[in-house]
Order: sequence, then C-alpha cells, then structure tokens
Amino acid sequence: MSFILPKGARDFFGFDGPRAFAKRGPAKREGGSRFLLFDAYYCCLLLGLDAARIGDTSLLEGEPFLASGYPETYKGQAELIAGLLVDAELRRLHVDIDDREEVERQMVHLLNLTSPTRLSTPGDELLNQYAVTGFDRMQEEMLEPDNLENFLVGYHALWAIQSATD
Amino acid sequence: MEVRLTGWRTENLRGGLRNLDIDLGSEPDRWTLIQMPNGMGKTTTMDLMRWTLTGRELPAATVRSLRADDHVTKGMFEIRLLIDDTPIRLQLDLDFRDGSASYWTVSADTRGGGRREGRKLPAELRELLKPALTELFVFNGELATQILDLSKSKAAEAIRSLYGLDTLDAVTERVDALVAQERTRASSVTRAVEQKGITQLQNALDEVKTAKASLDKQHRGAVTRLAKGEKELDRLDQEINARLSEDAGVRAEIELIDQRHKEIDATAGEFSTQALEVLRRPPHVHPALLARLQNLGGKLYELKLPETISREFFRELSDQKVCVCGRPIGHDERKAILDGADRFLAQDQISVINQMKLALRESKGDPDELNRLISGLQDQLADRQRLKSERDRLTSERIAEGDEILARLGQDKDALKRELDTLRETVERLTTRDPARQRALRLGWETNVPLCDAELKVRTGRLDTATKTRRFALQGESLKDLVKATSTRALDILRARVTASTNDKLSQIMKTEHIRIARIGGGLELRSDQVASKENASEGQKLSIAYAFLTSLLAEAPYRLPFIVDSPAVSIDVASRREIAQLIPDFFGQMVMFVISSERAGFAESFYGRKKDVRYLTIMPQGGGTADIQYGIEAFKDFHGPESVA
Repeated sequence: MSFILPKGARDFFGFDGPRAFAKRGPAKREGGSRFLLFDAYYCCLLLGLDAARIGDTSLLEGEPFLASGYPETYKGQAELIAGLLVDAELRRLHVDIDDREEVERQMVHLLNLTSPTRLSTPGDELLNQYAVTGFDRMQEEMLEPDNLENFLVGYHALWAIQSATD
Repeated sequence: MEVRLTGWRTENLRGGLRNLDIDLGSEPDRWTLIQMPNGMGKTTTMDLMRWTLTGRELPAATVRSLRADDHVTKGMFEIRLLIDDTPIRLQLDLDFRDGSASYWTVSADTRGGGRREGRKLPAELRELLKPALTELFVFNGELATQILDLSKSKAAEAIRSLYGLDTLDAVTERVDALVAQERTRASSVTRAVEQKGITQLQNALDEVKTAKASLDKQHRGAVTRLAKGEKELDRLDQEINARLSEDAGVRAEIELIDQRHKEIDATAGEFSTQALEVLRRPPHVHPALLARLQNLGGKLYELKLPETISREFFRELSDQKVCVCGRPIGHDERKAILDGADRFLAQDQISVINQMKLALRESKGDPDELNRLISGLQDQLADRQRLKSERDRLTSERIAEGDEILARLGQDKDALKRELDTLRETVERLTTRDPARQRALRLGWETNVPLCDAELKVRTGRLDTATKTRRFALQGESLKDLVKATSTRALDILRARVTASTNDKLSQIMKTEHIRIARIGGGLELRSDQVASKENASEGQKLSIAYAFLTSLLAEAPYRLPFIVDSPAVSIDVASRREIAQLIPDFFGQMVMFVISSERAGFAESFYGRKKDVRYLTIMPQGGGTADIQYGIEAFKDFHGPESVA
C-alpha cells in the first residue's frame, strides 16, 4: 500500500517535516506533534468518501508518504475504511445495492485479504483519489488552521454543514 | 587457395548470348584465347561475370535491357568455377517481366544437388569479391594504361580495395551517423552543441545557482530572525507582566489569569487529544458514516454475501471418485464441476469479505461523543480568548493611567508582532511547495526555493546533455582523424610493398631498359636507369608495367584469382603487342583473354608457339542471336571478323 497525499496538503496543514501547524505561528502548544501526516490524509479521505467522488491522480504528490499500511493509531480500522470505500464505489458507480452479483464483483475488485489495508491495488489507488476530492472541499470551505485545536473545530464544523445539507 | 574459371553459360540474353555455353574443361588450360567479333556480347559477358561474382543488385531497367527479345520472359547467366578444386556454379536468374534478379549457387557437394539462393561461397572469398577488386581481375584491357595515369587514382583505389581499407571509410560514416543520432536525441533537451551554446547554458545555470544561494541566505536569515523575534516576544510579555505586577492589585489579577490560562491550556489539550482519538474511528466522526457502514453490513447479510461455499470446495470434490450423494464422478461430471467452480469465490476472497462484514456489523459509534468533545474544546478556546481580553484590558487601563513604559512595551510588542507576521509570510513565499499557493503568490524560480531547485535541475540537465553531446562529437572527430591517419599510413606501407613486388617482376622482364616504379601515388610514377622521371615509356612498356602491377597486387589476395581480360592489346601497335605478348602471360596462373581478330597480329599469334596449356575458341554469329563455337587453333587463325578488314 502506498498512501499519497494530495498536492498542497502539507502546506495547508503547515507541516515542517513530520510536525504539523509549524509554519504559521509560534509552536507554543504540542498539538502539532500529535497530528500525523496520515491524520491529514485520513481527514481528506473521509470527506471524499462521503461525497463519493474521486479526484484526478495528477493532483497527487509524486511519492508516497507512507508505504507500510496504517499507522498504529489506526489499528482495527482497516475493515471499516475498506467498507467505506466499497460503499463509496457502489454509490459512485450507481450499482444497484440489491444486485448481488455486481456487489460481490465490486468487493472482489476492491478487497485483498493479504494486504495490510485489506484493499487490492486498484482499491489503494482509489483511496488516494478520494483523498484528493476531500482535500479540495477542505481548501474551499476552511481557513488554513494555525493549530490542532482550530483544525478540530473547523473540521467538525464541515461535518456539521454536511449534516445540515443531508 | 585458388579460384579457376571452367566456363559460363547464357540463356535468352541479348546479342550473341541467346544460348551460349563456353566450356573451358574440368582442368582448364593456363591461357585461353577467345576470339569473337564486336557485337557478340563481349562487354555484356564481362559485366555479367562481375555482377554474378559480386552479387550486385541490379536495377529493373538493366535487367530488362538484357532481354533477347519480346518472346522470352526469363533469362539466365551462369559462371562455373573451381574453388580449391571444388566445382561451384554461380547463377544469375533474370525475370524480364518484373525486372527482378536473383543469385543462386549450385554445388555438387550439397545434399540433393543443392541449388540454393544467394552466393554460397567461402566467407573469405565472398568478402574478397567486392566490385572494386573484381574489376581488377575481370578486367577491361583498354583501361590498363589508366593505372599509370597520375591524374587518376586507379592504382591507389586498387590497393585500398584489395586490403579492405575502404572498410575504414565505413567506420567514418558510422561515426558521423552516431554523432547525428546523439545530436537528435539531445535536441529534445537542448539544441546547444557548440562551445558558444554551452557557454550560454553555463551562464544560465550560474544565474540560477546565484539565485539559489541568495534564496537560501534569505531563508536562513528569516528563520533565524523569526526564532529571535519569538524569544523577544516572550521577553516583552515577561516585561509587560513584570511592569503590570508592580501594582499589587493588578499582580493578583494577573496571577489569577495566568493560573486560569494554564488550566485552560491543559483542558483544551485534553479535549483535543480525545477528539483526535475519536476522529480516528470512522463511525464516530459523523452519524452519516456510521449509517453507511451499518447499511452496507446489513445489506451483505441480506444478500447472503459472500457465498459460504468456495471454489476450492468444488476443486477438491472434482478429485473424488464418488460424490457426497453417492453417485460416481466420471470424466463428464468432473469437467462440469470444474467449469462451475469458477463461478464461486476463492477462500481468501470469502475471508476478506467476511472480515469486513463482521467489522461492519459490529461497528458502533456514539455520534454525540465527538460533538461533546468539540463543544468542550470550543468553550475552552472561548475562555482563552476572554482571558486574553482581560489581560489586554488591564494593560490598557495602566497605559490610560499614564504608564509610559508600559505604553512603549506595548508598542514594541505590536511592532514585533507585525514584523514576525511579515517574516512568516517571507518564509512561506520562500518555501511553499503547493502549486496553488505558488500561483496565488505569483512566485517564480527567482523567489521560491522549491521552484529554484526545479529550475536548477532542468538547467543542469541541459548543460550536462550539451556537454556530453559536444564531448561525444569531439571524440567522434578524433576517432575519424585516427582512422584517416591509419588509412593513410596503411596505404603508404602497402604502396611500398606493392611497388617492391612490381619492381621485382619488372627487373625480370625488362632486361634492356631498366624501368621501375618510383612511387605509387594515385597512379604509377615511373623512372628508368637513365632518367629520374620516366615520362615517355612505350605503349608496350606501359601495358607491361600495368599488368605487372596488377599481378603483384592480386598475388597479395588470399585467393589466387583467374585473370579475365577483354581486349588486352587493342590500343597498341603490332610491335608493342609482340612485346606485351612476350611479357605478361607468365604473370598469371590462369588467363582468359577476349580478343578481336585485329588483335591476332602481334598479340594472339605470339601464343601459337606455345605447344601446351593454350586453348583457342572462336565464336561466330549464326543469326537470331545464336552463335557457333569452334575449338582449336585452325578455326582461330582462319576467322575473319569485320575488324580484321578494317
């Protein structure tokens, strides 16, 4: 598995190496060191999966930032993230949820037991493309966060808007 | 190693070559004189011999021009050779309809009497039989004196051809082709390949390097100033606190604010840590996500996905002799089971879907947990903002009461904060990698480090490519100079060797006037005992020297070759012919001479005294393109061709 960040995500989260929110103000609080590059990727991903839209691969960075499955802090989430991907793909491709054969075919296409993410290579690639769409929305609707606290509040507000439009 | 000519044959060719078969015998004589009138296809025969020996590609027009008449569609020429006593026939097939020509080899030792396409000759001989060399032994006698002509280059060409020096020209051509190819390849990166262009590229690279050094310096300066400024800000805050704390009442309020600030920081930190942990669990992020997961899980149960029976089950079943129902499993049943097995999922596919299904069914989330944490965090942030306002209020009140020191510290702090904001913008401008930000801030390689790095890479690539290409071209020129020098030096050595060998022969045959080759330039430069430079050799002497040169040269070939000559003495007077006829026959191992009747006097008749090893053939036209061949000296002597009248 190779997770690739959307272009511009590092700057948006103020990453200086592995440390987030480092570029836009004095690092008085320690929140930046707790927030991982994968957290940034995952927050983008959830928004993209929810929207069931994929972005262009040209909007991804050239190299993966993580190449060995999910970080420890995401232990146990592989099947759920895979489930969200299957759900997003069924919606994106307008698959009839009662079409047993097509649902099975999609799952076989996206899943792989031996992968740490439980996803096949096409599944991994789609995940990165969903992150692009999520980051796109984040850039449009949020100010660049100065610190973790501001980001959490802003990100939560995005989901609140989602809830209001559902 | 030796090649001898034993005969040739023609079919359906123009002139007297409609159907001609010349047989020189399985053990050909050393000298063969063939007499035929002009117009009987002598020149064509010589050309056909050269083409067949060299395998030259023939243009369609040339092929069609050989056609005997409109009634024939195909023609053929065959030359018969003994190569180290092994008979081999080389054939040239001509198709007059499409103008095509093809070469064939017939050799008796090949299984099935083998006729094979192409010139199947020993490799060394095939390499030797190039056009320039073949012209020297399938030779037009009228051109003999051209070998001596210093204004031409026949002699030098002959040496170059025999020793393969012309292959060095191919090296030069290959070098030119490779340099052109390298330049084409490089042109996708840069067109600069000359020194001027390279200097321009070097200047362009230096320009970016200078910019990069300047940007790095600016970045270091800004980061250093930022770090110092932040410390300075802390110091100013401390000074402001100290100044405020001089008033006991205010001090108590500040201590209370500081205490409360610490508590808020700690609580806000806790909220954000917990919120981040909750955020990392997808079902907790938003009820919509939880609902999607649960719906999918439920749907998988409803659809009974995945199948419980795997592909492997049926494959194992197909290996059994009897089914679980007790029926025997034969060939047809086995095939049907295996074909059907592919409709089922593999065991690992079933496992992964089951794992996900289980996780979805068990997914739980408290939609309010994140709401609660974020709400708590927002309260803390609001409290923090209130404390800040409270502190600002205390400062403002003191300043209003006339505390000038505090006013100045406040001004310093505001100025410093503005400076730090500017510095952060500078750092962002210098370091952002985000293409959208780079566009928004109108950044270029002159102002942004990542863009400058990229430009540096591009320009370094261009310079490297141009430098390598130029170096490659210069090395190519050096190689060509070396090849040229080698070729020149080799030719000098070979000229000296052939000169010595030719002069050896001349010393044996020219007893009265000792004529020698002084030097081989383009042609042969002569000298005699009497004069340093011999310009006026007789025609007979000139021909003798030319043939001595040719035979010396051909003696160096890896194969001894027959000498086939057309009109060996046609251009000289009778006295000179006698001289030639005495001198040259001993030069060659096998000599086949085409003569016309006018060459009999002086030249051909000189052979009459030789009692053996001479064969005479006389070919006479019979009308309709056919010819009559008479063997023997009598017919040869009696023949009266049109030339003899003239």
